[in-house]
Amino acid sequence: MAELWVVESGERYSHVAMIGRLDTEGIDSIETTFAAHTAARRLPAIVDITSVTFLASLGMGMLVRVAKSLKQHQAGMVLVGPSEPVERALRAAKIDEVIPIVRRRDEALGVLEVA
Amino acid sequence: MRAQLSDGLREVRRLNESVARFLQDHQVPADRLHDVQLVLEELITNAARHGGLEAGRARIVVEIGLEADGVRLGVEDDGREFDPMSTALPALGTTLEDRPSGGHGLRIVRRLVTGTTYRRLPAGRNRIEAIVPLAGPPSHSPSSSSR
Repeated sequence: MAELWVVESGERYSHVAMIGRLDTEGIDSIETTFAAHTAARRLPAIVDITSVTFLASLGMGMLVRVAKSLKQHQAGMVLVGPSEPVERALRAAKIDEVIPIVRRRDEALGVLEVA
Repeated sequence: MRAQLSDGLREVRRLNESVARFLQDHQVPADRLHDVQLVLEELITNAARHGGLEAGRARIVVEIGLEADGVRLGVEDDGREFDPMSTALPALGTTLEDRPSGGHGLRIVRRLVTGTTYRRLPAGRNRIEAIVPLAGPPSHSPSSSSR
């Protein structure tokens, strides 16, 4: 089971954190909540994946869908803090070419220009 | 180790828990364990989605062995003929707007494994074999197919 935590839900940006395994089961358990706290708000989004221990392609698809939805409203999305194997998987799928990956929250704020 | 799945995607997590125990017992590094689990997840997802496997009736057999150069995987299923290593990958596009939300799985598999072979077995089954290297960054290497 994966979990989604809302870290910050202010007027300038959304900040959520994912926890656990984002395999088929994990994605099913958070996808609706994730979209509700990010895409539906139409604000720049910080997605902390520091505590994601496994990220399958279905999870990457979920990230791309939300990022595309935000982009339609001129809002960006940034991934923060992936573990080394999770980041390697993201780069293998070339997700980093369309969704920035950074190490820390302050870097994410800079990329999103909401600092 | 050898495992058989009859309910496709619903059993992948249980399979991957067994795989973790097996590879940890053999001192496989955590990052390579992650890669093995990811490749298995993607291959089984593809077999279920593109092979038309029916939950509860499909038969997927997974074999895992340790070799000098890495972890050897064998995945066999009774779905429609589908070679995940020669199938064309969807175009990525140059912008987020152009990027498809699906099709990442095969790209990941091709980047993480080496020495891939695909065979369509006489019994009407697909069999793919691949190695997840134990050392160094994996890079794509030529695959071979036979029927």
